[in-house]
Amino acid sequence: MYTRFTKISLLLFLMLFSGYVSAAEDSETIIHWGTMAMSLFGGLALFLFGMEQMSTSLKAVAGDRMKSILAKLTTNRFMGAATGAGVTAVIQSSSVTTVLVVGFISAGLMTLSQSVGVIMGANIGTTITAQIVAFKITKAALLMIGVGFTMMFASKNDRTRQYGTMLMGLGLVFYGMTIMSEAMKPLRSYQPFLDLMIQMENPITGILIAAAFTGLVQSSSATTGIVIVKASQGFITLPAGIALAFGSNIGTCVTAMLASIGKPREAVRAAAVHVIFNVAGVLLWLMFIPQLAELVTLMSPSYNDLSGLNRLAAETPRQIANAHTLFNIANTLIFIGFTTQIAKAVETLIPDKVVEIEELQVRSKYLDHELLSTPALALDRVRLEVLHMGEKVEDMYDRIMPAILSGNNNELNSIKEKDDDVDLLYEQIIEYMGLISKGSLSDKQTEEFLALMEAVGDLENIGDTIETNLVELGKRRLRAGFSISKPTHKVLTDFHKTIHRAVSLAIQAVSQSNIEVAKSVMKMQDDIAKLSESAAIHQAERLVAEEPNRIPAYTIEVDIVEKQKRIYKFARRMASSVYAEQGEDLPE
Amino acid sequence: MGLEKLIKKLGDYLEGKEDSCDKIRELLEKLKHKQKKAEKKLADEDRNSKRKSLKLELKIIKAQQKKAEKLIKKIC
Repeated sequence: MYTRFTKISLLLFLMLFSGYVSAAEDSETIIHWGTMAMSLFGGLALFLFGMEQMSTSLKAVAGDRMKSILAKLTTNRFMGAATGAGVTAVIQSSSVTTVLVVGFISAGLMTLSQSVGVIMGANIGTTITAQIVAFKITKAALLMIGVGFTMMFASKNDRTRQYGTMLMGLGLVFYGMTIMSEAMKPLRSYQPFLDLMIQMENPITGILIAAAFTGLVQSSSATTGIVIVKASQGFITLPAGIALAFGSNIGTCVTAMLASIGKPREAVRAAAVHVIFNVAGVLLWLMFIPQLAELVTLMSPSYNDLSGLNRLAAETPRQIANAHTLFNIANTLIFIGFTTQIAKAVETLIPDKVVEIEELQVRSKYLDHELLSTPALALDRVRLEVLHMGEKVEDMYDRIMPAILSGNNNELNSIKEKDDDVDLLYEQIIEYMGLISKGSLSDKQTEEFLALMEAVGDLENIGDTIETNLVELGKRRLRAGFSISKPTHKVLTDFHKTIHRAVSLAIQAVSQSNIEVAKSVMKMQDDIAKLSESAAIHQAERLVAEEPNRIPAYTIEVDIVEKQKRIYKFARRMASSVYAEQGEDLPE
Repeated sequence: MGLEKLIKKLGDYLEGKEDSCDKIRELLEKLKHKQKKAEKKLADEDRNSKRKSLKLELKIIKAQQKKAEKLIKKIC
């Protein structure tokens, strides 16, 4: 996430400060620029690395639970905003919350109007980082790193290891801040730098700088964290800090907008809601920065015993964090009454594409790369995609029996072609799962991963059986030029209906990880055995009847039953993958 | 233009087929552009995993083109 952008931002950061190297020669202050650059560079690297570690482990520990909370608690706009704030505060990423929301919209679990509240709430959730870093518990940073490291390496429990990584990440964030803060201390008496900081007093400049930096590092929390580091040295006044926090709000949604390019309509619309809300919020407050500053000054602790830069350094970090939170809460309260209107405006602005349906037939709908950093959520996306792939397989299976029994070559070929779509989806799922496996999976997630891999393979095998075996049987009937008798028609159609039900249930069991549904697939075995037996008796009776083409008809009918039994076998294997995933024993 | 053709065109326009056809053609153009871009990327790429995903992307683009062409034949 931070790779390329971090490199660029670090470079810019260094470039920014290298400009002062020559200026320093004129100054009376002795500043070791090389040491300062190294400290800032290393401190920023530790800070960003710590943020990433913390965020990754939080997603691994809480991602799954957050998803179900988000799905359940968004029935009205206020609950949506509160849930969006809570979930984002825990997983530390508004973009992940937005991606989750997009998934719910695509799956029909949430409307765009409901999602607006969640997206608004996500903005409040991101401000929690600034609140934490403003606590200045930097002295405990090394202790956190030590304890976190011990938990990571000494524990065999996956959850404890993740908590260890989280604690170590938080420690690294604070340690990085301490290093940067110490490195900046000499600048307190360096006039050219102080002049530059005065330029930041212009809110437009501050907003633009913060938006650009947020875009580069792809994290508004990182920007506000750095703003607080600067504030803790007294370099930034409260109004300037507020402007920078505003800029981080704009930067974060521009990143989301860029990430939505080429994505389904729902993703673009959700990103547009984010942009509209964040930009409108900043524009609304731009003229009231001094008033907001006054209000948070009253709300935040003051240090009357200090004066000058020292007082500024002590008071401003918390004031900026409070202003950021207050601004986002106020915006949510102002705009929450207009979620329906915002959703309608965005739908008008970004209408449905007429030809999008065609496009979607071959491209995966749910495999979002944004979620790869949260394996629990990425695996859930695989489940949704299994449902998508399952719809296609079911459509093929639905059409195959009438096509075999009384269809023509065109109908059979169209079913065969449909399997190309299934194969393409299968390849996309496998590629996505390959990427998931590169991340750190817990033991439970590994089991889930393997079970899903098996289920996806079985679903693809069902598609292949229809495409190669069943289509071929239809073609054989057409080549032989006979029609299937009405009684046989009924026997085979009944058999097909039962297997169809088993396939539907197997897809449902895998996509919902539902053991009860998986059990019902297993229980169908007896019914299928009985149906198969009665089909065999019927076929034997037909064989002795005086009818033309009875031998080729018999072989085709037997083959149809056999291939369908094979399809049921794959459906059973899909269901058994749910047993394996949930650690349940298979029935005898 | 014969009366029959004119009536068919008018019917297509009223059903929105004209609009859809233009959009599919537009999509086909975009797909061509996408294909060229992906092919160029594939030629320049050395990493195996990236090559694999680019090959899959090309497969998807080709399948989309095939579908779009079929749709044009069917409705335009």
